[in-house]
Amino acid sequence: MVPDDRKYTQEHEWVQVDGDIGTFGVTDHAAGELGDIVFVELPGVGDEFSQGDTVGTIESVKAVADLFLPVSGEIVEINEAAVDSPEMVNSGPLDDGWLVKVKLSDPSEIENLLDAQAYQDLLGG
Amino acid sequence: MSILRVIRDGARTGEENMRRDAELLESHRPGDAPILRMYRWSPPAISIGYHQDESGFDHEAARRDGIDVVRRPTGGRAILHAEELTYSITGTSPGPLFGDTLNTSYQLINRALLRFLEMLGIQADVSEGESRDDARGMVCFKSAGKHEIRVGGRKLIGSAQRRTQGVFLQHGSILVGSAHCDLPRYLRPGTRGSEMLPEQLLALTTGLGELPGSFAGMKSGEVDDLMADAFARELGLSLEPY
Repeated sequence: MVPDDRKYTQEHEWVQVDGDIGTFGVTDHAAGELGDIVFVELPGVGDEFSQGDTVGTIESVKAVADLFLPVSGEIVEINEAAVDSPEMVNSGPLDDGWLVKVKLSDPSEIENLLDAQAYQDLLGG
Repeated sequence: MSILRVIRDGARTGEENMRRDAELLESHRPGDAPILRMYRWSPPAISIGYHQDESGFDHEAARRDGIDVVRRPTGGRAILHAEELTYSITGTSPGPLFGDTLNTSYQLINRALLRFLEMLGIQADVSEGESRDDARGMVCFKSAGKHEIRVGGRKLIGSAQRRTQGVFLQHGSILVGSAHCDLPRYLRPGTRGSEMLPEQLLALTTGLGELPGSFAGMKSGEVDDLMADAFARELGLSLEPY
């Protein structure tokens, strides 16, 4: 099931918007595909990024994958708990395993992301 | 037929080897012909995983023994590269050849590696996986992760991957001798894995040099030719120098 309360990217990431703050993480599919996640590397609070910039990396037992921020803005919070306990990204990628919160500098960018149905289609229905 | 570009790179320093692999990934664009690079290490070098904590390594001991220490662009744990063949593959994923995922790309590359071993007369299999706890240790060849290649339960090939913006780099060590077993000597006391004895690592791993098959009588250029041929056949591509 792909929750319809957020938007998705082709890189298997999600953004959930509340006011001008977007919460960003990776999807169930990404977490399952990577397998046991052992390291999460995130940016610093206050860092600013443009849409599509690399904001960190996530490492499982077999791969390091870059994380791409799907919206432009300033990092206002990072999930320290996920950095300390990367297994949270496996156990709850859509909730407790969120990665960063970003203050959106251009909320219209959200419209270009995939909705739940389009992301479900990307996963093959 | 589509092509597989091949680089026969011989022996280089650890820094140069990792820089070359990183540059191949950096310059690769989705849809470009995949690149197989084959190389060795001179002098021997310890490569440290992308996120691994460097403070656990005894740099002074390594320097004294003429061993370089270098960081990999890929994840995983440390390896002492000395007596081994090393491959790297740069390709497109998601895409039709390597599939859409980490697992499909690993599976195809593993089939090519198994074919290479078969051509050498070696029967190997692919391991199912290890615990998260083992994955946090320091020594790569201590345990066999998912997708790693074993002979008789002992690890022969360890690989790691970096994925970014529709392309990936996978590289891996194909053990030849037993020099990799000296890695714990270069870990600081108290670091996980430093208590391991070379004999213990030796019991968990194997190398082409000790396995029956045609490897022993071959020159390194012939081995590279065979590996390139195995990849070309398994991937359904024709070989072309890079």
